[in-house]
Amino acid sequence: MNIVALHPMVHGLLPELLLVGGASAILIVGVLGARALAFPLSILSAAGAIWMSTRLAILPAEATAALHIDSLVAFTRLCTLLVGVLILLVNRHVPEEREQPEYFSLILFSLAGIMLVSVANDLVLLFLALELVSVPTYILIGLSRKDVRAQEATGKYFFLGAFAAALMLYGFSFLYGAAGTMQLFPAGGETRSLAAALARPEILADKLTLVGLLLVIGGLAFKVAAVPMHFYVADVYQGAASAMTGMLGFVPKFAGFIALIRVFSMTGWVLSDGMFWLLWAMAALTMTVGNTLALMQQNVKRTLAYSSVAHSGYMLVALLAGPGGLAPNAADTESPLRNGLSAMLFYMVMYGVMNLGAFAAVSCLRKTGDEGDDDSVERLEDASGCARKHPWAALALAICLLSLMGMPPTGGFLGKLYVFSSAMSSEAGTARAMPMLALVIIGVLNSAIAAAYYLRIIAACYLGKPADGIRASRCRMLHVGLAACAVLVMALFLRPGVLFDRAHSAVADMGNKPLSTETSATAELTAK
Amino acid sequence: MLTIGLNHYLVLSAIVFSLGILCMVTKRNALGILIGVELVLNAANVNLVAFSRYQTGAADGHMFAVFVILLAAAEAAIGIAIFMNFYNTLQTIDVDRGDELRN
Repeated sequence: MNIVALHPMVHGLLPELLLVGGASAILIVGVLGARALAFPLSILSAAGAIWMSTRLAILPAEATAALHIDSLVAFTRLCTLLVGVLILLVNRHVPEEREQPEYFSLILFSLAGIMLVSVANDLVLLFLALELVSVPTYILIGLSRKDVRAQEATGKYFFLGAFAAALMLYGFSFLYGAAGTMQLFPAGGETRSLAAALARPEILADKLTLVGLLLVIGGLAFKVAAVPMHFYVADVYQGAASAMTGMLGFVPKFAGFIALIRVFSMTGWVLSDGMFWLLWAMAALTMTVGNTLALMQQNVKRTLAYSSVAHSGYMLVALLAGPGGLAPNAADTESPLRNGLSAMLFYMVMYGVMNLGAFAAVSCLRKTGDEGDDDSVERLEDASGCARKHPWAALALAICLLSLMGMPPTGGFLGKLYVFSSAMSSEAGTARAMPMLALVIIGVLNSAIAAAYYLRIIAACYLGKPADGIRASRCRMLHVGLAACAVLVMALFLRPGVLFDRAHSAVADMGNKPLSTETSATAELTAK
Repeated sequence: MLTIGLNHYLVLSAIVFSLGILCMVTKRNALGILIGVELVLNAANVNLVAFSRYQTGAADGHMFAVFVILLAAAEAAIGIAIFMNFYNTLQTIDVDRGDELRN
């Protein structure tokens, strides 16, 4: 593209600017009274941002200090926007006519937040981007909803979210104090950075740095809904509109995991024993607690909410496996199956699609047939026998649930395969091979537990006595979104490379990064 | 003679942080909890400005603090809007009264 005249900062942020500009335009259009334009405009902005992000050449890293534009950014932008379009389609029927502009523009702002999280090379920008992801979701849960339970969910989510953000900020302040700079990675001629500071053992071992890191991980654990910050999930997911819940399973989680990748990249993926066992326990507990609680629920939305906690646990396993290639005895460092991060990104996007599909199906099946979202099926009895009257919606629900369960022939199966194989191989030959193996065994056992509650929902749909009065939503966009999710879930099993190769190239150079900065730092010292 | 140094500010911010957490845990009134959140955010601000003054000498910590103040204002606006809605439905802003969500 020939936009040479633009400032590099503007040029590097064109997709985000387009998205935020579109969101603002929708708000203005809404004020002017053309509310019917809100939805087409939101799809158009997302499509424009997709076009822009594929056309945008990746800038050389030294172009600007505040932005960290690498292949992970390109991956994040594309996946966020593609899943974002599905989210918009599925949410088409949720807001009242009067509140459509606000609703769709807030979704776009939240998506722009995820993209900014991946771009941020500065603590201020990272913090603001994470808040840009969360703050619109607080409003979206309560917008256009009369249900008293939606008000309660909004209140709970807002307070716990604000609390987690404040914890994270307190952690950021210690990291700033330890490094003396806001910059995350060296760029733009600036050599001081958090990554360089954390590479020095005396700083990494400092108590205040450690407190800072723990607080940041705690705050991000809230975003990804990992133990011990998982308790809000069931209430919030149950209170929110089903279609909005599909978004909540993807947007904050994706942003949280991207931020976690950045935080661990700063430490160069060298985990101290304490940090390793902390993450190990977090992953094991998140899987187990999530699945156990999900098994105890009778409400479909609450079951899926706790299953979302469990899925965060699987992704944490892959995060713990890290970028691979760092273990001394790892023979084939180039193998994609050794890279935990590409497995994690694949799983994350896969989870976003299959979870959105499951909630879209729940949103599509409703008790009385009104177009509002207050009456989608909730208890197992509500959905009982729905397959007879609404075979397509039930089939899509079954496909998405089988994928969440990890059964072939769905993408969820491959996601679990990649995650567990990376966990098995990344630490092979080191002292941590045994704990990782134990973690994989816990994960596989958990997948078996999870099958019980997913199958319970499918069995209710197909084998239960037909409940009376169950209707399907008439919103065509919802049908399109639901069908797209179900087809994508199957298609990614047949052609996983489309997503997996991109995920792999997005993080392929991450394991080598600390080495290269170290060598450049030494080169600088010798030059002096 | 005692000179005020970095550690004094860190202790101050730790005290404000603990009070904020305590406030969030014990208060049942929505506005009380919001005040707790603000206290924690301001504890971080004290840290940022103190580190900026004693560690780096640059203004980036001050800048971050200004952004945090802006964010806190935005968050308070949203929080109050949320609890206006809450009040309209439940006639109270006691957060314990919202107990409809359960298995």
